[in-house]
Amino acid sequence: MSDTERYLRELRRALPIGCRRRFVAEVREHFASAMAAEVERGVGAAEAERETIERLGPAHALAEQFLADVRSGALGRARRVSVTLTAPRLAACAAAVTVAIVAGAVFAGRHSSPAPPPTPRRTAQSSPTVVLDPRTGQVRMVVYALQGAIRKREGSRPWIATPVPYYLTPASPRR
Amino acid sequence: MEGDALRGHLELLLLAALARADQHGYALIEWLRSRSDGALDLGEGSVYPALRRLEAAGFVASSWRTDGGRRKRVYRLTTRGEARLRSEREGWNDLVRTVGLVLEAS
Repeated sequence: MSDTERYLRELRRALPIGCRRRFVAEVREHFASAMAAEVERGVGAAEAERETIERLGPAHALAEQFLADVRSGALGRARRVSVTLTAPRLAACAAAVTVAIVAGAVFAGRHSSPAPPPTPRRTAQSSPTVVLDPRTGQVRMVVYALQGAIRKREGSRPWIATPVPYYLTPASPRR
Repeated sequence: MEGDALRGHLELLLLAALARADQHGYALIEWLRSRSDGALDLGEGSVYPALRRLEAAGFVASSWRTDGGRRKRVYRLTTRGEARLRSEREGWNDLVRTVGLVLEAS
């Protein structure tokens, strides 16, 4: 990795995420222009790179100037908000959230008893309303099945969604 | 002339340079250096933040342009920037005159 790339990488890491792309692109262009001008004057590429870095000053100092402007509000309110979003700070936040989730899961595991297995309630069979076809006498509809579907949507136990034939057993004999 | 002596005047110098022509960061630095016969030794790192401040204040505007196969962020003076430059120039002239009067009297 060249000194230029190292410089730009350091600068990128020190800048807020919302501001870094344009700023780094601009400094990259500065490197290209400055080094091209130096080489044109007869300076070697390595020497041109060293001089350009020297004139720009350390990457962290450049980033700090930018951050100071952001903090002071000189670059507007939106930039002021984005100052918190540097890569190291985001990584720290992500680590803190991960630790909190793991700790929460461990805590919940220690202080809760296992959930009892769902016991199917048979109240569904107590009063099913059966609609018969007047011509054939066959069962056309069991209203309770519809009610069960509605209850399921409201968060009841899955067993209520038992298919219609389950309820037909007590209802079918009616004619 | 460097650092502290230029502090506070950098933005005026940048506005003055942009009044002449739209320019990108490095061209601005080079123009100021050559215009002052090398006397203005700008901390180049301070130019880009200063340009951003001027842009945030609405005194300059910028856009990417391709020049010689490279994309460059080119700055131009806005109407507001022109007014600011006039006012800053007057302030500078007043300061020079005032300081001159004191120095001549001593």
